[in-house]
Amino acid sequence: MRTIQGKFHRESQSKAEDLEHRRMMNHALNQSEIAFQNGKQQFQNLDKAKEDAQSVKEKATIHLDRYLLEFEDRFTKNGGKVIWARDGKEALEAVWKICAEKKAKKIVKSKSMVTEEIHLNAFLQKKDIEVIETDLGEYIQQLSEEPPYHIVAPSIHKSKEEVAQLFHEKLGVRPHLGPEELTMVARRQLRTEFQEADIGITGVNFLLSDIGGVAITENEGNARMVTAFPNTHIAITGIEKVLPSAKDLELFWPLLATHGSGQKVTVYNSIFTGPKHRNETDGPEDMYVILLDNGRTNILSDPEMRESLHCIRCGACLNVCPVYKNIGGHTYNTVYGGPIGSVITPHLSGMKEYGHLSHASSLCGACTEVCPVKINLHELLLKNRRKSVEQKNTFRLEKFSWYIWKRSMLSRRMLNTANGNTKERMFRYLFKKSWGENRAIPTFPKKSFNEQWKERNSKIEK
Amino acid sequence: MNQLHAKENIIEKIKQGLNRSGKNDSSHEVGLQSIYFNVNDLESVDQFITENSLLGVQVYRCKNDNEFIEAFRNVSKSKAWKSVVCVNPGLKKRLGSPIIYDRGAMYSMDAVITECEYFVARTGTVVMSSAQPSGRVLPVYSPVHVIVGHENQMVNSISEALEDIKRQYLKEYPSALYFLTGVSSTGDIEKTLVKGVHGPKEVYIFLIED
Ligand code: SF4
Repeated sequence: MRTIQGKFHRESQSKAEDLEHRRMMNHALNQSEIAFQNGKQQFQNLDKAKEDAQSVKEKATIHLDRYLLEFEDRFTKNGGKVIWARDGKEALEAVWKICAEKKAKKIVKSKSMVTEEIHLNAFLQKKDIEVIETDLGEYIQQLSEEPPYHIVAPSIHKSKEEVAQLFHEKLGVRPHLGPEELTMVARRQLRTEFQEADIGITGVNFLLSDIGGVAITENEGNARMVTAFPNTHIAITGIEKVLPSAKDLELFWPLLATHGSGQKVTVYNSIFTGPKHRNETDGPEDMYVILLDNGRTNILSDPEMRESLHCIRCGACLNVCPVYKNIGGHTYNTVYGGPIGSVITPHLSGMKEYGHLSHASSLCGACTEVCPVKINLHELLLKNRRKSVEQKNTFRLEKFSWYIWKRSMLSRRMLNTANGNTKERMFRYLFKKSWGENRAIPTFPKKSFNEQWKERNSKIEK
Repeated sequence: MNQLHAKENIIEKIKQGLNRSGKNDSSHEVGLQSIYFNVNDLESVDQFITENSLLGVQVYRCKNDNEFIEAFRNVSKSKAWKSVVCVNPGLKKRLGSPIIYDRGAMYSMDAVITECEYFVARTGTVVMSSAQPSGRVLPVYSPVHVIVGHENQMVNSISEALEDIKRQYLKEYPSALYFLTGVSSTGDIEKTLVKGVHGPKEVYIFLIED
C-alpha cells in the first residue's frame, strides 16, 4: 500500500490505537465542547442566527464576482493594493516580488490556513527569508517542524510536558516549565521579532466588500503586533471569504467565536482597511491583499459542492467528529482536516488522491448539526463518495468502511447517543455497495446493549 | 499583464461557474441583531460592567473628571506603576501626575492609558482606532492597558459602532479598527487559559458619567 489512501488507512489504525493520543484528544475536545455549550448561551435563537448566516454567505457566493470587484475598488481607494492569484504558485510569486522590492529579511506571521495551503513558509525559507509564526500554537508547531493539527487549535495534540521539552530543547529554557511560564517565554521571544520584522503576513477571516477591508479575529494579540510594527502588511485570503457588508460582522463575529472557542466574541476583532493614513501615528506604509483562487472556482462551478465555500473555518466540525478524534489531524495528510477538509480536499487536490477521505466518516451528522453556516457536511461527503465511485476509486473501501464502523461502535458515547435508526442508516450508507442487493440490512434495537443493560440492572436493584 | 490575466481569468471562471442565467438567489434579507441574542433588563452601562467582570476586567464608574483622576491615581499607586505612557494631549494634561510619560518611554512602560472611540454594551467591548493618537502599537505592546471614556460613548451593537465611526470620520474609515473584548489570552497549551500572551495582561476601564 504505497498510495496516499494506503498510508491513510495505516495511520488511522495506529492513531486510533494510541492511548496517549486518545487521552489528549478526549481532554481537548471535551474542553471545546464545554466551552461551546457555554458560549452558545448568548443566542436566543441560534438556529435563526445560523439560517441568516447561511443566507448571507449564499448571497456572497452567488454574487462573488461583484463583491470581489467591489472589494478591490474600495480597498484600492483606501490606498491598498490588490493582487489576484489563480493558484498557489502565483500567490507565492507575488509575495516574493514584494519581499524583493522591500529587501525583506525577516517576516512575522499570524495564523493563516491559506498560507499553509500554498506552503508559504517552505517557499520563503528557500529564498533565505526568515519566517516566524507568532500565534502560540503555530509557534509550537513551527518549533517542532510539524504542520498544524487542527485548523483553529494547531497544537491541540501536544501535552504540556511535550511543549515544555520542546521549548527546553529548541529555546534553551529550563525544562519542565508549566503552561503559564511557557507562554511567557514565547511572549518574550516574539516581542523582538515583531519589532525587527520587515513584513507582517496575516490570513483573513472576512473580506468586507462594502468598506474594502479585511477582518481578522484572534485572542492573543499577535495579529495586532504583526500589523502594527512591520512596514508592510500582506494579507492572503481565499476568494470565498467575502461578506457583503461590515455590518454582517454583528452576526458573524459572535458565531465564529462561539463555534471556534466558546466565547461571546473573540478578544481581538480587528478591521484593516488599508495602509497607515498620512495623519495616523503608526502602521504599515503598504498593505496588500492577495486574493487566491487555487481551485475554489472549481468548487463554485459544481452546484452540489458550492455550499462548502460558505465555511468560516471555525473548526467546530472537527471538534465534534468521532473520526477526527480517533485518527487525529495529521492522518488526513491534507491542509484542512476533519469533515470540512474531507469535503473540499478532493476538489482542491484531486479526487483520485483524496477521494478516500469521504469514506472516513461515520455519517453520524454531528458535523452538519454543529456548523454555524449550516453546510450539509455529511451529505456532501456522500456526494463525494458517489463522485469518487463514478471515477472508480473504490479500492479497499469496503475494508475501510468496516473499520470506521468498528471505531464508532467502540466509542461508548456515540453508541449511546445514536439510536437504532441512526445505526441502521449509517450501516446502509457505509455498506450500500458492498453489502450486496440480496443480503438484508441488519436491524438495530432502539437502545444500545449498554443502555439496555443499565436499565435492566437498575430495575433489578429497585 | 499577468496580473490582469489572473483577475480576468478568476472573474470569468466565477461567472461561468455560477451560470446565473436569470436565476434569482435564494438568500433572504437578514433581520436585526436583537433577534439573535438573549436580552436582559440591565441598563447598557450595567450590562457593560457585568460583561467585563466575567472577562476579568475591572471597570471603575466615576461621576466626573475629578473622581476619575483620583481613582486612577489610587489604582496606579496600588499597582506601583512607575511609568504610564499617555499620548492624548488633553488627557495627559488632566492627569499631570509625575508617572505620566510620552511615547519615548514605551519600551519600559508599566502601563498605557488611552481614550477610546466607543463601548459596546452587549459584549463588554472597547472600540479603538488607528486614528487616535495612541495608534496601533502602543495599546497592544503595553503590559497593562488603561482605557478612559464617557458613558455617552456607549452603543448597543457592533454595527452601531461602525455606523458612528463612519459618520465621525466623514465616510473614510481609519486604517485600523479594533474591537477589544477582555484580556489577551491563549488556550494553546492543553487548553489551559493563560492571560497576556502578546497583548496586555491586565485591562482597566474608567467610565465617566458626564
Ligand atoms: S464547515 Fe462549518 S463547522 Fe466546519 S469549519 Fe467550516 S464553518 Fe466551521
